[in-house]
Amino acid sequence: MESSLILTLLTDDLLLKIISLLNDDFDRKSFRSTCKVFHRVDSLHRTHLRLLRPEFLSTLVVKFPCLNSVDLSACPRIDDGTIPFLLSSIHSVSPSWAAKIRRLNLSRCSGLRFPGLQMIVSFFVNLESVDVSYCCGFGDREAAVLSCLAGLRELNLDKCLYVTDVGLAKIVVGCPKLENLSLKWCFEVTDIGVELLSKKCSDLKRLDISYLKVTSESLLAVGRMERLEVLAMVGCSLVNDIGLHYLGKGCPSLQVLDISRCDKLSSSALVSVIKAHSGLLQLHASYSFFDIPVTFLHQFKDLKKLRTLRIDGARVSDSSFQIISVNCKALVEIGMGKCGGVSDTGIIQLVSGCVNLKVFNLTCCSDLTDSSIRAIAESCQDLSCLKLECCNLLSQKSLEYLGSHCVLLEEIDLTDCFGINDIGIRYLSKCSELVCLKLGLCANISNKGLSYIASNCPKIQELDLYRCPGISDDGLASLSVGCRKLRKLILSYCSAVTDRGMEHLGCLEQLSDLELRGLPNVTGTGLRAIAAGCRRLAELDLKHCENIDDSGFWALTYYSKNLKQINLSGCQISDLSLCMLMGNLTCLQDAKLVDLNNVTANGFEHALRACSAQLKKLKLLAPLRRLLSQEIVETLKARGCKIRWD
Amino acid sequence: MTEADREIIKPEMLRAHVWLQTSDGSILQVEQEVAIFCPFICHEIQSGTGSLKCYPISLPSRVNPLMLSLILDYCRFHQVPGHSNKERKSFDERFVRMDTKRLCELTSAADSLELKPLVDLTSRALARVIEGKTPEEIREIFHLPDDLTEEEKLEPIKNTMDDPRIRLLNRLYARKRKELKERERLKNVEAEEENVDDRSVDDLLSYINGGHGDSKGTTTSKNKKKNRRRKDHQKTAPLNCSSCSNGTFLSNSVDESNKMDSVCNNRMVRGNILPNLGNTTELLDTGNARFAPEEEFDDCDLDDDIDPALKEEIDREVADFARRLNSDWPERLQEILSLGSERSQLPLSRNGNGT
Repeated sequence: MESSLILTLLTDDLLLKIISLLNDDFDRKSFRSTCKVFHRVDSLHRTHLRLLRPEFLSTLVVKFPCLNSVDLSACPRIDDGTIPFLLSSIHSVSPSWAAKIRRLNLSRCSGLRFPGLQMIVSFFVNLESVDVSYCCGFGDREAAVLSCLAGLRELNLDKCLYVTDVGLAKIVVGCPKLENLSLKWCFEVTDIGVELLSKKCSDLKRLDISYLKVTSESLLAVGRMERLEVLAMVGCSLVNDIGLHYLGKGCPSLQVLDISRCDKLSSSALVSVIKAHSGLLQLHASYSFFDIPVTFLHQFKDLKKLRTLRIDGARVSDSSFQIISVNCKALVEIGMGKCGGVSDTGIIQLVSGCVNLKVFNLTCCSDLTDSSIRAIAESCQDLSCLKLECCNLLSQKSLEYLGSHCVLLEEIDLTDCFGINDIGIRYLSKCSELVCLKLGLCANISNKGLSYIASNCPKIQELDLYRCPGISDDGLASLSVGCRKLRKLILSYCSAVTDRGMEHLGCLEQLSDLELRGLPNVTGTGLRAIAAGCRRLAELDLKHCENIDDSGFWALTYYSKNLKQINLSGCQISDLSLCMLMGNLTCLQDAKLVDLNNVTANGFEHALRACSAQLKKLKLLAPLRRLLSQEIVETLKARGCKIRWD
Repeated sequence: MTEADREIIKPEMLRAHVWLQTSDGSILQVEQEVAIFCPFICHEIQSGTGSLKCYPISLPSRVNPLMLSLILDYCRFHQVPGHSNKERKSFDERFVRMDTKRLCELTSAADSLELKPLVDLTSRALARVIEGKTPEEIREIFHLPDDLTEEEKLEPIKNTMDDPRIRLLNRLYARKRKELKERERLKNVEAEEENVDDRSVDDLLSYINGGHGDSKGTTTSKNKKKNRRRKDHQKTAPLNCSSCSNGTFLSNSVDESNKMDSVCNNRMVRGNILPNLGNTTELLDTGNARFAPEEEFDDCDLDDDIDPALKEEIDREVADFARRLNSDWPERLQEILSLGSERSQLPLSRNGNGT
């Protein structure tokens, strides 16, 4: 029989190889649901699991014996109350499973606190990588708990606002094998903490101290880290040139340096770093310097291996491009967004030398014309990402050049490029590998342009049509047929779109992020069509869609069980519907409920009570603060929900 | 030997040949430099076989003559050092343009000959075939059997029954059922003699009244002995939103029961919420929950074994409880009533409803 023939041909090893080449989650899920053999191979070899609801963990644990990485960041209601039940249910099902888990992602589990974290740490004893970023209530006690994991190699503490030097010290002492540490936005950490870090964790390879109030003294300590390869210090506004000199003298293994948005640094000091680190691979200096003097760029002759250079916001001159193109031929990514002085001649010169460019950011370089795009297209045929926002002088000819030469193009940003029209899109659609296309504020695009995209670019996943008045239902019809992989769609203020278009959107099964602001012709029927069809909808923005009535919201309640983020500002939703919505959508974590004219304070009260367990971010009108009961506000805060009063 | 002879012999010696035998017995002579591109053949040569026709290298069974010729084409191209990367890439792209079955055979053959670059190439081609396809399409292309249980197909199991009111309702029914069991045991029941007719009528009724929800809720066929218990289940089950919690061992008469089958085999009634598979059944279940009390009273006439007074009392309690729960959602109740009465698959496909 044919079937058994193929299954005998493809051994488990081969099937495993094929699985490893399926990058998309959706594809892997299809593979898994095909037949028993495929299902078994996938189950036995799956190593990473990302859950939407924590209740599933105990049943799935038995099915995946090779699991070593668990991601709970998308789960609602991970807090001190539910953790004991979760862990005991897992333990009863499979006692030895917890010891195999090496990576745990608890990002944004803001309801979790010290007791819950303690239980987790004592359950998963062999953790090597923990991510607790954005758990804003975490402080030194939680850091102390994490320090019990002696084998910890990677730790992400981004935005754990209450972690101080004391907490950092505990971690540093308890986890000497640390290789990757991120302390972004942990404002309480100072020079002392960083110094201790440099003394104790000699294996550190990646460090992120962005936005911390550290001074140049920290960089003296960082300079002593022998193995440090990646250093990110975005927005460290207290660091000055002395710090860069320290860096220049130390950090022998440095490969990636990010000093974006550091106001006090000057390019001359950066020279000392460059001189000492000729093996530098990536240099990110966006919005740090006012201009890039030519003397500085001359130092680039030492940086033969440089692959990424970002100098957004700095003023450059034509000679700069020439120097770069001569010296840095290995450049793969260059960022010149909002740089003054970027002209056609400069670009032409740049791409004559840097032919390996794959990522090119020319946001707001408004002086560019078709000739520079032609040069880019002809020289850099491996181009995969091109950002041309606000380049108003470009016309359809640019897209013609891109379409004929850069067939590997995956991402292009043409927001606010007035000259782009349907004919241009037709040329662009020859790039059939397109994944992300941004056409916001392009007034000359119409349904015809969309039909070209739909017929030629099947891989497209993100489409931005913000304020494109020419788009209407027929365009959406062609999208629904041709772009089955579409995940993110922005149709805000495309006022010609009606319910019929929404029905077409309902055919896009993979749609998960939808922005439909300000659409007056969409009613409850349309919203129902979307809710019923797009089962994977996770983010929905309906701001100022004033004609959507309750039937639409009821459909949303019923169908969109995986909805995580919703913006209902300005909608005509009623008390009852809001309550139902908030109560029944158990995955909802982020809600913007501003300007709801039909909802009374009582309605808000009930709605918030219904969802207080899982909500993490909330935006409400400021006057409501007095009208809501103290109780509900306190409860929300205690559960880790952040409320923004507008 | 003269110089001329030596000249003639040398080129022949350079182009040495090996002998390969495929699974069907046919023997092929191949240039050595091409053949040793395959690690398997290389090892065999080193261990001595293959240089003579009578001692050919026998290739693994998965390599038939057609596959061998394809593999040798591949080797012949790639073993030449002179080609550029671009040329190799375009050769590869053209090479893997074949139907899926042949691609699988080629992968298997290359794997048995340990030719890793070709295995990578063909695996990537197979992955590209699979990408973007639904499970049905993949099954069709690869001629795979559709042998997964519904449970496996629909995982992860959706647990939408985390509504505390529904849990309370379940617990109430479990308690009621226990009480009824006690009372039955006290009475002398000859319900066993009750023939199949009643059961089938009840089945029909449950099918008609409760529809999908009911079939799930109907108790195990094994436990169909006592009418009243079944009837109570029948009565309670539709109100039970975790429609499979009572175990649907009811066989293939209703589609949904198949879905629930394996799940319920694993999950016995504990009075707990059980996973509710499938989205389409959800509305019907909640629909059942809401309007079932009305429907139930129609059934009362057939149930003449249990003490009517007791039954009425139980019915009243259950109805009261359900109504109390539903008092918060009058409008939704109305909507679901009107939707549920038609009992189609996607009730919300009708327009203009619910306003």
